[in-house]
Amino acid sequence: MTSFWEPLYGRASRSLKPSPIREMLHLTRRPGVISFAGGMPDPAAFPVEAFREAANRILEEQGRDILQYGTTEGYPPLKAFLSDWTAPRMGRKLAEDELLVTAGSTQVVDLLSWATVDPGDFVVCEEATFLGSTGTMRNHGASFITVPCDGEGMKVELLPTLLEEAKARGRKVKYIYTIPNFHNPLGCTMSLQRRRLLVQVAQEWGIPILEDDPYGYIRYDGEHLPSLFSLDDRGIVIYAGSFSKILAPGTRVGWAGGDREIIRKMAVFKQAVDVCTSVVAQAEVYKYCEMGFLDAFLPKIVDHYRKKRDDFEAAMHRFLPREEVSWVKPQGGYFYWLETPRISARELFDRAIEKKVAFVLGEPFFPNGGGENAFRMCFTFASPEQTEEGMRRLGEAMRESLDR
Amino acid sequence: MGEKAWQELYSTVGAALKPSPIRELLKLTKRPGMISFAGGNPDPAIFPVKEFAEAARIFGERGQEVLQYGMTEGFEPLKEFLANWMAPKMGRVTQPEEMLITTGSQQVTDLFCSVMVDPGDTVIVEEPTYPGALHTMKNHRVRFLGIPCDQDGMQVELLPDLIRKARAEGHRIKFIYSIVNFQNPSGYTLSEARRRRLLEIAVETGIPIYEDDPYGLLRYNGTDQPTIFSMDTEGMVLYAGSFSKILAPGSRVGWVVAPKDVTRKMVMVKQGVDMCTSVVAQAAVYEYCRLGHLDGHLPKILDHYRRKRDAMAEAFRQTLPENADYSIPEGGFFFWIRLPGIDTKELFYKAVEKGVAFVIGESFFPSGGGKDYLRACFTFAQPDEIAEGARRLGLAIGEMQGTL
Repeated sequence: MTSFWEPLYGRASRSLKPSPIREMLHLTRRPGVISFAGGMPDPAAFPVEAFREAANRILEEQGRDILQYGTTEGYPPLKAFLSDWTAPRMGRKLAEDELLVTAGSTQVVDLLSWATVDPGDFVVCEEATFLGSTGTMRNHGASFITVPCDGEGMKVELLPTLLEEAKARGRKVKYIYTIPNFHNPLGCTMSLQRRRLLVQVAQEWGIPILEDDPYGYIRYDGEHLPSLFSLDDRGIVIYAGSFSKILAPGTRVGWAGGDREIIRKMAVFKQAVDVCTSVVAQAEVYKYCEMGFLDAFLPKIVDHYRKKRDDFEAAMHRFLPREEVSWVKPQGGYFYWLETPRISARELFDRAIEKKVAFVLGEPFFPNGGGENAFRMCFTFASPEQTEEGMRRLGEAMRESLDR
Repeated sequence: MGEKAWQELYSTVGAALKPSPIRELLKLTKRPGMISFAGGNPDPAIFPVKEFAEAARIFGERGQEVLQYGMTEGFEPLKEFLANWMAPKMGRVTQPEEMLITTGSQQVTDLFCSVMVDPGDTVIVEEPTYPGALHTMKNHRVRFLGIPCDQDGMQVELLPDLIRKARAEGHRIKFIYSIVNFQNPSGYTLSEARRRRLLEIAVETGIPIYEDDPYGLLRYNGTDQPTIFSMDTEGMVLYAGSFSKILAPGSRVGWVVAPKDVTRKMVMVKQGVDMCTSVVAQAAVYEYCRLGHLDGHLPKILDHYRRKRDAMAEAFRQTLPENADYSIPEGGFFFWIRLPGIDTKELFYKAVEKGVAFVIGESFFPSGGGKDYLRACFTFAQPDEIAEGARRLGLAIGEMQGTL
């Protein structure tokens, strides 16, 4: 049967590969494996009862409306709520036609890529970046220009040279993709100075920025930094937000905020892609927010994960060979990024899986190669006992890798 | 940034993309007092609001699971339910690896095109056909080959010649798209003999069939035809179903059944599109089905729409001119009416002045035609509106004929 379909597949799908994370996740689902791999919230932190209450309430009050087809642009009450709620971060209230509700922030990447990317076009991104996003961009035929990072995020000062080079080689750069807060996988946060510079460079070059900010509200210490969107006065920044980390990923509700021209264009693509985001899900999320649960639970979620990060940090200090591994303590988000100059992450992974502990290799996060001696660990999902035991196993695996 | 700056950045498809003319016309139908036969919406009066609200209890019972990221393939209990519930139609209990839950059946078209289509590839479509599918395919830069329809659906006997000629001209034909039951817009159902012949042709020519069936369960009289999927032994058919018409479109839950390899590829594309369909929506739909409400409520929907269809048939019998050419659909949502000698676009403006709206015929033809057709949806308008709307339409036609 495969032979019949094979010659009919499009070029893109012949080179389609399953996400390496998903493949790895299969290994991590083995019984007894402690997983620091997937970037998943802790179900224990889900506001189950509040969500159920909100769902019941909205279905009783608005059942007929929310079971009908919705407008592609999003459920109007949710958009109105978002406009108010995100105003401090966005620097102002977004107008209705500057907001598009999406099926998670993944869809923002898909829609923007639909609108801008032809096969062979380039996207600028951090040298290590969220592989889900680069996967989506690849489906649209994008190639990548990568910018190295340090503890303060993307080294924006290198960007003009990189853009000059790209221009000289006739490369069309369609947008700059960045995760400024509590980066996935690096855990770093872009400094204010670099944010200003990034917006300035983008404006000078006329290249839009996709500011992907799923973790921005999950800050454990330090001060919130202004969004790139709020630093821009020319409509060059498209902001992607999500309820996945501040409420629950199973809702699949996210949003895009940006210039009305591009938002309108993305909406026309969305019409063809899924007509609209589940109105039922949008309405339940809206009611949850409107009843005050979002503001009430968010501090609890942040407390919950801060504790987990601190436990994780302590366990790393206790069990890992300190002289062989380095990391930066993240001020928010989900991830630690570990660099092990003398240990191959791939080899360590095999050893770790034998000992029943899992993480994600660094390599898949580097669209143009690299990351052989680095890996990502998520601290939000495992329980405190699992964290302790998992880190002990990892420490053992690392020492064995060194002794070899 | 302004429209001009964005134009420079748009992809080929993005630059060519225009808001659909149907949507532009539909804007005119939003006036107060307008009776709309235009949109293909279900009647909210028949939404099972109470039963769906009851199903929301699953958020309390399985909250930690359904608020988490879900498998891209879909919520397993829902897939299992569908495999069993659809078995009589599909001819067997399909396997989990063959099925993917999607964000409405619109998403099936997008995912399938991503897997199959390179720019410039050809898809065979019925003339007329659903513009939403055409829009999605156009985004994938599909070339269309139209095939005319009659009362028994697609005139499949014309296919072998058409395919031979097209291939001789260099067309790379990727699949045949057919809405097999109560087609949108024509209301026609593909006869059993033609289904068999279509499948034979597909096997002979090596071109798969995309059997889109959102209306199949909405039959008001007559007997069901077997699905093409159930006749297929070669793995040539992809079947798409949806909860939009049998439960509620606001859930945005649909599904596709296809050969495993094709399904696997669609899963990989879906990872980059929205990761998974809203688990919250899938779980509520599942619970609704599990509680027996799908089977319990479907007969009520059928009765409700049968009465509406009869009301519209009766109203049109009284108000449409003698030479109006149409048949009474045995199921689905639509009347498809030919008014010889009348340009329905002109009629549209006149009708809207009188306070009734429909969709003009040419919207449904990818390469022109259908100028004397109109589509009237009988499910959305209320019974008293149906009679009054038909009267207004009759008046508008009368005026047009008077001016000829």
